[in-house]
Amino acid sequence: MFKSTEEKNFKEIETIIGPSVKVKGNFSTRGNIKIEGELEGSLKTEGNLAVGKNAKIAATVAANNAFVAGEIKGNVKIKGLIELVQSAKVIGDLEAKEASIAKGAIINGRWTVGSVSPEPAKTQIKVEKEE
Amino acid sequence: MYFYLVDSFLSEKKYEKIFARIENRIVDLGINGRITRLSLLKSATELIKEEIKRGAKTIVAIGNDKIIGQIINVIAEEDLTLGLIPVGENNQIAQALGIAENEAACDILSARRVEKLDLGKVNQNYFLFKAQIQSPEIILDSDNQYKINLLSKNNLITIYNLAVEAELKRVLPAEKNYHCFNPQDGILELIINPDKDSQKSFLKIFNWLGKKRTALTLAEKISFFPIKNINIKSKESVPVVLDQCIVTKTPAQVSVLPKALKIIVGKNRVF
Repeated sequence: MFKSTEEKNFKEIETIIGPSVKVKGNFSTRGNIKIEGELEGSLKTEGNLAVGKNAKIAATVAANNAFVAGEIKGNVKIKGLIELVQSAKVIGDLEAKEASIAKGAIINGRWTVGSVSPEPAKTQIKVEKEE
Repeated sequence: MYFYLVDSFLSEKKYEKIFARIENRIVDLGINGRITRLSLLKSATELIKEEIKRGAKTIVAIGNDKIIGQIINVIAEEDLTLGLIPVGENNQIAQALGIAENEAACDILSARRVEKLDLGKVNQNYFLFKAQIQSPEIILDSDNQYKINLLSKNNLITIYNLAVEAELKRVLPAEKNYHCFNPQDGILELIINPDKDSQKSFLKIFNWLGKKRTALTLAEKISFFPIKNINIKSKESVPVVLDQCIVTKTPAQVSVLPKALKIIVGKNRVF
């Protein structure tokens, strides 16, 4: 499920932060972004975000949908769906309309799932067990 | 009025017949004009400036990507049109623009389908195809918004304005779609590719951490950024090669000039 959703959402990639790169500052883009390297500061995109297994993000993050397999230290705000796979680690507050969290994924912070608004909304969490 | 600038390599005997056919086709189509060959004594800049004074409105490059690079640096931002007659090897620009080789290009020239294309600018020089830097320590600074620090020891940094399919396959993962490399979108594409030695060092780190890892695929190792402006800084000044012919040095200020070049294109162009 993760893979198919990832493929659907990230078929058109506009930015790739590869493993040999560290980006510092306020990174803002309109399109999809894939991170395999490091990012420090803030990240904002109107498109979708994919965080690879070895990626390290120390930033506030805002995106349309997100697929996370790596580490994010910072508050995360996702308009649509966030998918956290087994290797995912989020240290910070997480806010999303929908979430899919695999067994083994770590969230260390307050999380609000159901709507992306200042008020907390009802939780609709789908936890998937992985073999 | 047409002005034909012929690359010096066309003086070689193997190009004699091709060049004769091109000359005949130009006359047949009624698009004749002054034809001048480049030589060690005549630079492209001097020759083109002289012809502009004489009233030339269309400059036609006969040769490969290198001569196009030289001409662009003279006619950029001028109210002139560039035409191409690709001959010999290394004609990626003509391929991207859908221009057939040798005398077949004369028909495209005669049809005169003119498009305005973006140009990349590095310091005071221009490029149509790509700019390249190979350097160990470089920092890329995007309008003071963010900085890109390179973690590997050696990197090939390429900034593209346009590219042909073969080049795309070589530099980008095939499984993804990129709506990029369009020379009319006001955006340049920055690709950072760590070299093989850097890959080996990554693998050593993974092995040391006890994580089994095979060689990185292209999709896993490259970085890709759409950019409009970027400053390139390095500890020591390193060369930046534009369109494989013009060389400038870091620190380099890179920008895109939207629709700054009028050029004759073919039906089979890639954009």
